[in-house]
Amino acid sequence: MNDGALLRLNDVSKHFGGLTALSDVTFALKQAEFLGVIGPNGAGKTTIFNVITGVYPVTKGNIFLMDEEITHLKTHERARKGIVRSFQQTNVFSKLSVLENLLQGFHNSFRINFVEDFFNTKKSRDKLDQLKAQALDLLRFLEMERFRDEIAGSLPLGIQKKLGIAIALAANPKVLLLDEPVSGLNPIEIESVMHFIAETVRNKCTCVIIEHHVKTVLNYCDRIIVLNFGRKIAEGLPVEISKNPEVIAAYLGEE
Amino acid sequence: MTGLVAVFVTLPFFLSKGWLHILIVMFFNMSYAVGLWVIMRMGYLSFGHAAYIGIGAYASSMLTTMLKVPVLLSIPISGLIAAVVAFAIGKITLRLRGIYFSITVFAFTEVVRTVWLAFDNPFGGPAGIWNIPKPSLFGFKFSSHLSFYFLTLFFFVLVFLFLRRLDKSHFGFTCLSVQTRETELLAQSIGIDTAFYKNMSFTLSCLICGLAGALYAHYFSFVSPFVFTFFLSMDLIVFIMVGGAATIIGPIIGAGSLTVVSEMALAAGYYRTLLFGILLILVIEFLPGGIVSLYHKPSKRESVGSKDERRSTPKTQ
Repeated sequence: MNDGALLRLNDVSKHFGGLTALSDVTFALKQAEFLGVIGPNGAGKTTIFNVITGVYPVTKGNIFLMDEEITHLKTHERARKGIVRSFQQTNVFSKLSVLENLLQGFHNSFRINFVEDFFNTKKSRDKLDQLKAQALDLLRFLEMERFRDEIAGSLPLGIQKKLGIAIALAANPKVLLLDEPVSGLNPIEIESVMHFIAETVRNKCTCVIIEHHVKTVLNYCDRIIVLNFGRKIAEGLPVEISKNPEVIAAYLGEE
Repeated sequence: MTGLVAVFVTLPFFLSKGWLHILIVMFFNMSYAVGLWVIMRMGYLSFGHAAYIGIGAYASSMLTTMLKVPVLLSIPISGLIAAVVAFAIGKITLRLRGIYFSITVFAFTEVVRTVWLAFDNPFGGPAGIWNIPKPSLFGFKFSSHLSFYFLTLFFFVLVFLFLRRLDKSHFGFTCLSVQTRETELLAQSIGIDTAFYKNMSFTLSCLICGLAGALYAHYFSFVSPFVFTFFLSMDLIVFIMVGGAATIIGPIIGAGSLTVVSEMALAAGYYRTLLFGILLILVIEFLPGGIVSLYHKPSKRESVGSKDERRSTPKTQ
């Protein structure tokens, strides 16, 4: 079992009543790689993320994070162990400012007991100042400092997507699951966000991305998994995937 | 702020009993309203807070009349009883969202009320419990309107200061991450134990209502199932909506102004509910931020809703 895999799924299945969303999916995620998950609509891409993060319990199979079984942990417990995701739709706290959004992301770094927090003791204030400084550092690093006091919901969609990823980064992930981070963006924004992920985010953690834009995934990812009807039909390097006849038939079409 | 304190401390000495009564009821309503606000700001609309007010009131009535527990001891015990019940109910119902949560907590209220109605012993059935003793401290009996005015004012200020501090704490800040089902998922995914924050907030919300309800029982010296009805729960929601739900000041202004109006319009009888209904519709339609949004410019946090359209850029595939 110990082959250095960061995240491992063993024969994971998920049924919704009679519907099979995932069936016997097995794969391993290596440290520091950039894995893409593609497949047609309803192939089970988002379900895989929901199962890995614990939003849905698995019907069958096991999930391991660095050889520790996490199959039955709750979502927030998995997040504390390092599995963090960004969402396709609601990916920021739209009523909070950008800085506050990041502070929510730093939630687990706060670690001050309730009494100290309530009475706003020096220890608690110092910790909060420290987290604010860290949040500002992160904003500076992501070149988003000028947005710090803007309300997240009022930002352009491309910036919101970046902020969503930044919140996830604040939570100090080992594995970051990105659910269609460029959906709804125009080509320029897509380029900008993908560049951001490939150049910046990847240096901080191991990334898995779900994406509709096949070309985007083929361009940026190290390795690709193709899903169809809840099954893994192919796995390999981008060049191999783009030539795989089964994948072409199921998904890529004539391209 | 100090001016306000001075007014509320000196004013009662110049007021008639009738007016003192109105202000006492106002402090009760303000306490209930800020209590309900604790869970309402997390996106949970409770149609059932009358139950917890009632549980506090009944518990303290029974403790003092049957077991002869001193009043100022039985009030905190009764608040805790309401909180324990709320914790158990919250564990189950807080998983639900939107109208499903609202209906479930409402159903529980009706169950509790039915139990009070059905059992003459120990709840007194439809007649309720009367001759509930007044609180006393070191031989001083809070039996006059004036003394009760200060007791309820003290209670409300205590609750207010507690909640304002909580609102500014990191705990209160974290609670803001749970406002819709979607942001709750987001919060969980970055490691926030949302269930804990929801349970704690609901329990605290009902603890405040239970404590206030217990105090209420000793003011009126009488409780019955017809006091803690759906209409009471509904009034609290109207208070918050009319005042504005964004900050803790909203529920206070809403409860304050509406209590005075409705106590003065007591002659209107059943039309009072009609009045509140129309008011609620008007506020939701023309002043979604409540009265508070008239005074200070809507802060950034309150004005977000209007900017939401900007998010929806066309979807590309």
